Amino acid sequence: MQDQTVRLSLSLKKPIRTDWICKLCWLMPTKVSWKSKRETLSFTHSIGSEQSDRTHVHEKEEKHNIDISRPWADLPIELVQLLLSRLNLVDCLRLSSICKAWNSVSSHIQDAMAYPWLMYSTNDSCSWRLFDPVYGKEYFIDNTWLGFGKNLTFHYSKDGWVLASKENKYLFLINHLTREFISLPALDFDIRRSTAMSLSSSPANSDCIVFVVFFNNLHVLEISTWSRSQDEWNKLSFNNELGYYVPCNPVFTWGELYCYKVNGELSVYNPTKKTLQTLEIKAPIEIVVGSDRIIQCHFMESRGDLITVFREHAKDRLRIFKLDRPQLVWREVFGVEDVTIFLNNKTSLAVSCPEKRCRDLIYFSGFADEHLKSNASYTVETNEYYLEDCYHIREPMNCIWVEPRI
Amino acid sequence: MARSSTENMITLMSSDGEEFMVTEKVARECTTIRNMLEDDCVITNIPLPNVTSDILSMVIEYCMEHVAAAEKAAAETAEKGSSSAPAAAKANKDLEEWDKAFMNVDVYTLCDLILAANYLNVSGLLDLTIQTAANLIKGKSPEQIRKTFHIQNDLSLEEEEKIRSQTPWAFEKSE
Repeated sequence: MQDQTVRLSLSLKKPIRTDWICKLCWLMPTKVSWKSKRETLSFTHSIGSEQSDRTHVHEKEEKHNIDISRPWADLPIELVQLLLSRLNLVDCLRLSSICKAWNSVSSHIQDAMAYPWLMYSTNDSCSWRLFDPVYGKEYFIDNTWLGFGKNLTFHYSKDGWVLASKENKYLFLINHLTREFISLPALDFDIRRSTAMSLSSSPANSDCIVFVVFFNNLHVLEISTWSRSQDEWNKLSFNNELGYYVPCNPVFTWGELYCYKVNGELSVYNPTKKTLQTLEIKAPIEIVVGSDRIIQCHFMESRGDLITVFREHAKDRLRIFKLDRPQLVWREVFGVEDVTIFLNNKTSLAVSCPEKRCRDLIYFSGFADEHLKSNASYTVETNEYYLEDCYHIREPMNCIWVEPRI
Repeated sequence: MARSSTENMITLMSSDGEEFMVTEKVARECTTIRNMLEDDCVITNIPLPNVTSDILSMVIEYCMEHVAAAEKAAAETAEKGSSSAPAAAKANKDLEEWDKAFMNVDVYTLCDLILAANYLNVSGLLDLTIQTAANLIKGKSPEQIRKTFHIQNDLSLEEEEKIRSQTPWAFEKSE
């Protein structure tokens, strides 16, 4: 190396050389090897006798054999971090337990790919089952630390946190993986009644707002908000014209809370100004309240866009609409590109697809098989369902999609 | 855009002294070299003391293939006015296949390629090699990962137990 550094100084100008030497210091090759199986490349422009070099390198390999035992363990830490961004959470956790060097990336595990897992209570009720639909893996998370985990009803999830209730009255925020827990003040109404819930951001943020929207009757909408600095809920009532809302939770984006109405309109609540505004938009699919036509509607946010997904009857084509904000029109889209959608009545999520094979795919929050080993899904491009039995999606009673976050 | 016969040639020298003569275009695929050339356009001989000849030859092979693919695509676009989508898709697929075949190497070579791609700043190659390594890790137990990459476990029993106990569910065997 000493020799080569000297050669360097001859051919390069000073500023570049210093820069380069800095890099040299942490990027020295840890081994020298020669692969006999790979033919030496015949470069049209290469010069120098490769044949004679072969034997030369062979000698080097023997000399360095003792040193080649740890090339991967010695990979610079920023390169191990690059690996994290290509792996899911479980693979990252395992990677960090390989050796001392790789364990030093454990504080960067939040870089791991996080796509939703389906969370629901198991029969033994001491644990929650988390099912990873992309890799078909299941994990059991102990909930005995919480004391009352078995009686929780899930309402909403955001960034690894679940908004859950107990006895229809008490609300909690839980991160089941990090065992973090926030107890919220009691509500003065029974949350079994028509309520919808949402979170503005991860509850780990101090400015996170919890929204509970209560449809008191067709004419009054009550919005209760809570943030960490408050001891009690803040409640505001609004006149609610044409008051039917679809049974899916509101979505918080661009600083406002969007509630989707049956007639296609959006009620928009601004928590800063404390105002409720109605955006008059024509419904993409007409839903007649009380009719026999069963239409499932899901409402979510994807990269700032508001998205609705409709499913009529069991095997019909799913229809996806994106809100054109400037024109205030729901526009139908026929592909979801590099996004994978996870549908659920409580929280639907649209995330950058973790694997190529999930491109254009929509997962349902239920299983395609009776052994609960694979999620029911739908391919947008071909309009095909993945279901074992034509009409049955086996959906756990109390389930929710949660992005795993540590 | 026909290749000019008077194209600048750059000599790259590996750590073991082997010289590789490549076109400036190919050399410019390495951002590290491109920056050097932009700072000083008269350089024709660049020693790369961090890269062995076998690895450097592979890096050059990768750069040449990708430059050729880009040139071919550009030529087709120029010829037809606009690139036809199916042809572009096929070319992409071919290049992907080539990348896949190119990544058929042992883990030691893969490690060296990652280091070289990072040092020479060949973003496409770094992306490809990191993804290949990530694919080797996916779904494996810690023991299997160590075996795959020939990594010695230097954690004490207590240290390993402590790491695992923070997220025990991630280390349970799932079917």
